[in-house]
Order: sequence, then C-alpha cells, then structure tokens
Amino acid sequence: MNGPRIAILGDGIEAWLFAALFRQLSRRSGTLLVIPTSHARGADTIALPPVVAGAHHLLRIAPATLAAFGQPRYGIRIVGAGGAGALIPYGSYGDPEGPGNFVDAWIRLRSEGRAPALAALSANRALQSGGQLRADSDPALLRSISAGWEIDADRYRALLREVAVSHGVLCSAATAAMDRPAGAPHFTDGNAIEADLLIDASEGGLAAWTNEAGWHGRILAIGTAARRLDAAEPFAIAGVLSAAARLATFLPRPDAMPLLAREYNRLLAIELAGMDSASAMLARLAGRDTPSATLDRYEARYRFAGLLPADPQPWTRDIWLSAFDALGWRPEHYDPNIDRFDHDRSTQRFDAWRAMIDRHLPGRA
Amino acid sequence: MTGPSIRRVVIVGGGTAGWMTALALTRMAGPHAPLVTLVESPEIGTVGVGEATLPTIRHFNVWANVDERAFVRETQATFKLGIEFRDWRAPGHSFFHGFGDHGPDIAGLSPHHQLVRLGQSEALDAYSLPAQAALAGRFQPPSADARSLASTYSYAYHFDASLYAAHLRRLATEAGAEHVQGRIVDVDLDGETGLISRLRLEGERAIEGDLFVDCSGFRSLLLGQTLGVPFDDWSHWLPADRAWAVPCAGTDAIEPYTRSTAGAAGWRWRIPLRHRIGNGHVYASAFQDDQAALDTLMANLDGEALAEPRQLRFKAGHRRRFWVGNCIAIGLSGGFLEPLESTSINLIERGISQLVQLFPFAGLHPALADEYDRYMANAFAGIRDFVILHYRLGRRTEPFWQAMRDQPIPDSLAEQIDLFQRTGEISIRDPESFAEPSWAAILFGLGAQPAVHHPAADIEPRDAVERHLARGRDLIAQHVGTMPQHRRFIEQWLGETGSRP
Repeated sequence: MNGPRIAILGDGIEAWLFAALFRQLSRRSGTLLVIPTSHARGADTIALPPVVAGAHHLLRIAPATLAAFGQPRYGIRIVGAGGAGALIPYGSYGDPEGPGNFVDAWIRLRSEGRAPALAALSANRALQSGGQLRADSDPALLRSISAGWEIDADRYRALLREVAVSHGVLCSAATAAMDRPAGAPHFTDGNAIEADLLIDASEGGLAAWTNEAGWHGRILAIGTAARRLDAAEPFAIAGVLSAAARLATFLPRPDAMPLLAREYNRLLAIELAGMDSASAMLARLAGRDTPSATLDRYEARYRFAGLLPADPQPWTRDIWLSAFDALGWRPEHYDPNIDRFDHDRSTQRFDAWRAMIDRHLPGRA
Repeated sequence: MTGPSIRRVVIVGGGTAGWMTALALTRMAGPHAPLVTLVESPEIGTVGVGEATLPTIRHFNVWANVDERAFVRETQATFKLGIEFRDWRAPGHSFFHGFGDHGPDIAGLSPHHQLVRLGQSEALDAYSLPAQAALAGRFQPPSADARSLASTYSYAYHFDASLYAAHLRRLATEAGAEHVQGRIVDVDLDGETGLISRLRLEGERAIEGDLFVDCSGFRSLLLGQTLGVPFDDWSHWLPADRAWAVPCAGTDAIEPYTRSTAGAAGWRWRIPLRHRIGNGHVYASAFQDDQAALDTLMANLDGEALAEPRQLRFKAGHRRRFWVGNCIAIGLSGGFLEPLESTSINLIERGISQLVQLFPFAGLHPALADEYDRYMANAFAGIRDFVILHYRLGRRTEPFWQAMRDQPIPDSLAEQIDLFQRTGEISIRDPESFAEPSWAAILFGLGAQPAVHHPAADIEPRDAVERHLARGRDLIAQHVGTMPQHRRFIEQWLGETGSRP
C-alpha cells in the first residue's frame, strides 16, 4: 500500500501548518500536495494558541526562531464592553504538578468570600504586565507558564512552508479554483485534481464545499473553512492542529471513506461544541449576551457546586476559572474533596505562590 | 436552591452499595461533613454473591481509606487480572480480557494494527502481560516504575460481597455512621415540596433526613416505588433476566481471574475466593427454563456445593432519573446491567463519586440533579454497548445466540463494530469506561477481523515489526516466570511479617 493521495487547497498559514504537521503525524504516508488558492490576504499579525507548542516541538521549530518575528501571548485580551481590556491568562494557577488542587482550593475560599485575587496568582498575567522572568526561577513557576504567540503572519507562513517542504510536502505551481455554486474543485486551467482526499484549508477563500463542517465525500474542511468563529481566541488554529491529528488516525483506506468520515465528524462535533461554548463565554465577557445552553449549564455547575467544565474543551480548567471570575460569578459551594486538604495550609500556599511571583517576576508595570 | 443546607443523610439498604455510600460520606472531611444514618431493613435482601470488580475499586478504597491488607483478609478476597471468556466465539475457543494493554504503540499506532497487518490478530492475548500471568496462575502487584514492563497492567479483586459489606459497615460505623435496623413500613413526603421527609419504621420509629440515598436494590423503594420514577427497559438489547448463584468448595489453585463461560442461553461466572468459589448462571428465561439453567450450573461446579442455589431475577436498564428532589439512587435501585464485565460495583463507585462532588451542602438545586443524571445515564450507556458487544459477534448456533445476533442494537455500537471491521479503528465514546485495549480484546476475541489495517503501519519494515513483537512476547514470558503463584503471593502477603514477596 502506497498510502493515500491528499491535496491541500490553500496557501495560508492554516494550509501550511496542516501540511507540515499532518506529514509528520502520518509518518509521511502517501503523497501530500499543497495547491494554492486565491484568497484575500489576512492580518499582518496572527495569534497562535498555547497548544501550538506541541506542533512546533514536533516540527522542530524552536521558540528562539519564532521570537525573531513574534512575541509570546500570555492570555486572551477581551475587547468590548463588559470586560474590555481584561486578560484571561493562559497557564495554571499554582504548580500543575504540585500536591492538592490549587484551583479547587481557591474556589473553596471564593465561596467563603475570602479568596485572594486570582490576578495575583498568575505568572502569565505578571509576564503580560512586563514582568521579567529571572534566570533562576523556580521550576514550579516555570511549569505554570503557558503561552501562545502573536506573530508576523507572512514570516510564520513562510517558515511553515519551508518546514513542510523539507518534510516532503509537494507544492503545486498551478492554483485551484471552484465553479460556483457547487462545482468540484479543479485547477484553474480546467484540469481535474487527482486525489483521494481534498483538504479545504483555504481560510474561506473558496466557497464552503458544504453547509456542514468536517469531512463530506472526498472533501474535508479544516480550520476557518470548517467553522468561522469570531472570537478573541484563535480557535481555528487549534482546530487545524486537531484536524491533522484526527486525520492521521483516520487516514483514508480503501472502501471505508464514509465510515472514517463519520467518526471524524463525530469527534469534530465534540470539539466544535467545546469551541462554541468557549466562544460564547468570550462574547459574554465582551458584553454580548450570546445564548448557549452549554454555557448556562457550566454556570449552574459553577455557581451551585463550584465545579468547572468537565466536557472535552479547548480550554483548561484554569482558563475557565479566570473567565468565570472575570464575569463576577461566585460559587455558592465547592467540590468537597478539597476539604481533605487543610484550610490553613491552602491559604499559606496561596501566599507563598503570590510571593514567589513577586520575587521571580520583578519589573511589572 | 431549595430549603436549608443538607446535613442529615439517610441511606436505605445495607448491601454493598449502601455501605460503600455510607463509608464514603463519613469520609468526607471539613465543616460540611454530613451525619450519616444507614437503615437496614430485613425485607430488603442483599444479593451477597461472590463479587468481581474492576481496577477502579482500588481508587475507591484509597479514597475511602480502606486498608488493602485488612480488606483482603476480612473479605476472603483474591486478586483479579482480568476475565477469561470461554466458548463465547464458539465452543472450545477462549480468549482473555486483561487489565492492561497489548504492548506499546508501534510507530504511533496501536499494536493491533501491526497484528492485523501480519495476520497475527489471533495471538492478541500473547501480548497481554495480565492475560499471560493470569492464565499461568501468577500474580504480583504492578510496578510503580513507569519504565518497567510490570507497570503496564492493573488489577482488581474478587471478594465475598456479604463480607465486604460487613467490613465497610465496621469502618463506616467507626467513622460515625449510625446503623439502624428495622422494617420500613412507609415513606413520608413533604406535602408542600414533595421531598422525602422521613422513613417510618415498624414500632412507631421514624428516621428523618435532608437527603435520602436509595440503595434498596432491585426493589428501588424510594426512587421507584415511592417517587414513581419510570424504568427505561433495555431487555430488548439484553434479554438475560435471571440468574442462579451458588458457592462451591475451592481448589488448590486460586486463579487470579474471573471466568465467563458461554452456554446455550447465557453464560456462567466463576469467581475464585480464598475460602470458596462463587458460581452463577445468567440466562434468558425466554430461551431456557429455570431447571435447565440450574442443572447446567450445578453440573459444572469445581467442587461440592456449599449452599442451596439462589435465584435472582432482574431486568436490564435504568431509572429515567437517578436523582429526584432529595432522593438519589445508587446501585441496583438506579439500574442494572448483567455483571458480564464486573461493572456493578464500578457503577456504584461512579455514583458515589458524583454524589460527593455534587453534594448539595448549600441546598438542593435542579442543576445538581441534572448533572448527576446526565453523568450516570452516560455511564450506563457506555457500559451497555460494551456488554451487548459480547453477544453480537461469535458463531454459536443456539437460538438464543442467533437471536442476539439478529436483533437491532444501539446505533453507537453498530457504528463501532462497522468501523472496526472495515478499518481496524476503535472509537471510544465513554473515556471513563472501557479503553481501547478492552474493546480490542473483545472484538478480536469474538473473531472480528478488520478488512484493512492503518496505512501507516506499512511504513515499518515487516521483519522489524516481527522482531519487535517476538521480543515483546519473550519479555512477557520472562516476567511472568518471575511472578509468584497467586495463592502463595496472598499467603505471604497476609503473613505475619506483612512484607510483599
């Protein structure tokens, strides 16, 4: 078996990020051809979520390389009415490998009305405020930090292209087009695209192939082409990363495309549901009342039991906690499992953590 | 929120579910720890057969501060590395569902893809350390060193459920739970709120509470009988509705695994304990009469019967809601799935874990009940599919088995089987239940054969994969050779020195 022939339609960051990552995850199985499409040029700078660090590691893209044309992104800046200017930090509160559970202990104190301000417990927030990490910083503090990037879009795209090509991704000289309203994609010279699977990574440049996100027939839409989410968080990039991993698992094989597509789409639907609720949360933070039954359920869980979302999520528990707290939600109770950890000791840990941030991250504005 | 904070919890039922719940609630720390009363009513019988478990029970025991050695000693427990399935695919065939994987991923893919590629999927058990150890009658706890082959499996227990309940009763009452014995004659509802306010016991006694946990077994005294919550019947998917249970004398060896043997209209369990063997025969009464089922059970005992056989009657499915008002059902009162994969206590553990997390200290709220119901309904559905799978494949020819293969099954399971047979992929829909190695063990064990393997499996040179697999088999065989016999391990471990061999 020589592996499937896959064509990626698009020439932007999403196309090249998918191409480079998928090539690695699928262990260079089959052939992978990127076919440029004409699309409007996007913003000069693009935001990348923290989860991209895993892809960069796999692709051997060093942070120092990215730092030449980008800067770390320590959280989500809320733009809009309600929480305008607020930062929802990435990273964790407390040492993620430490004993007990920092977040649940904080929720306990919050329900009792005597929790320290969350902002003072986030190393990410201190970094965003200009704090400089000391060279001898405590490993626990380093483990709590997580960052995405704000990066020059053209240079990042060029880097991804270079990496992808070095891993054996082919690039077509001809461009792709599609006859509207529902024609099959083809080369602009009219020739058909010979491939087992077409990946729409055109970031919306081509018309949506179907009205549904995901894999239909021999066309699979990823990233922005799968679902445009107007949120302050780069969910589309996260979606590209998970699409590459998912397709590597469900790599096309003879006579089974519909089955693989069904399972791919089932998992995609779960992912998109998580992104939708996170997007709704960001909208509410920005002062827009976006209906979301899932978010209403999360609010009830948090208010009445002090529990954070447990469904598959694009966000960590810590990010959800920051978002809930930014909206002013106060839990009436907490997970009683945290009562197994001494109350006073929890308070001491918060004090020690806050002091460590102050000590190791001097120079904040 | 409805009403004041919850302080007084009343548990109805003194079986495994009741005492596990009582112990867990008394172990809750902090200022909100509830006051626990357990009412044991003589007319609410306990099932009390030999009980097999999943490895998750160890998490419960650790959480509830149950000392492993004392627990094993007092409940006549043995260790369990998995389940042997005999005659399920066809008479004379057997396979093993071990509590572990079938080796590490090979080039990023589950090892079963390479076994399919090499035509060796029939040998899946050879790559399971717990399967090989179990079939050799050996046991040793897994290593805590994640780099070690011996860290790649887990274990559970077999125990006497009556002794387990007694053990937990002692722990729970020592921790402050009140144990009340008496026949429940009535359940009072608050006329205004509809909440349960008290239990009336024979002799003019009444037990008041803020929260009531129904652990009354199949009878479902509170949730079913009193509150009238309907039962979602799954017997069209799982028609086995009766069982005979009987203990028999043990043998010299104590097998560290449960055995499940398929029969004409169901299956028989064999659970080796230290002092006896628990046996049972689950069957569909529409396909086999009671006497024939009993005869089959008695004819296949390994030793002298130690008690009169008891018959159990049940129906697969669960209550439409598990938490209504101030009443929560845990255990058989909430639902039942035949114990083919030892999930009964796992469902109790999961119910308790959710109850503790969602405990309504600050008062009752529908959101808490909704969360609980949502979680438990998913738990039941995930296990349901896995259990039905056992009946779906295979080649047995009796009418019961033909009917099981012909009947409709849940869409989720139909899609799972279809996906596996045509692509070799396994879809995990309930990450808290059975993981990919478990599904692989049952699917391959029953004879499912994927039409293709993952395309990326072909990238690895065939001979290199064969060498890798052969080395894996050798390492497992070598390691099993170093493990003590199960009985010897238990005896030494429980010895006066208390040190593990």
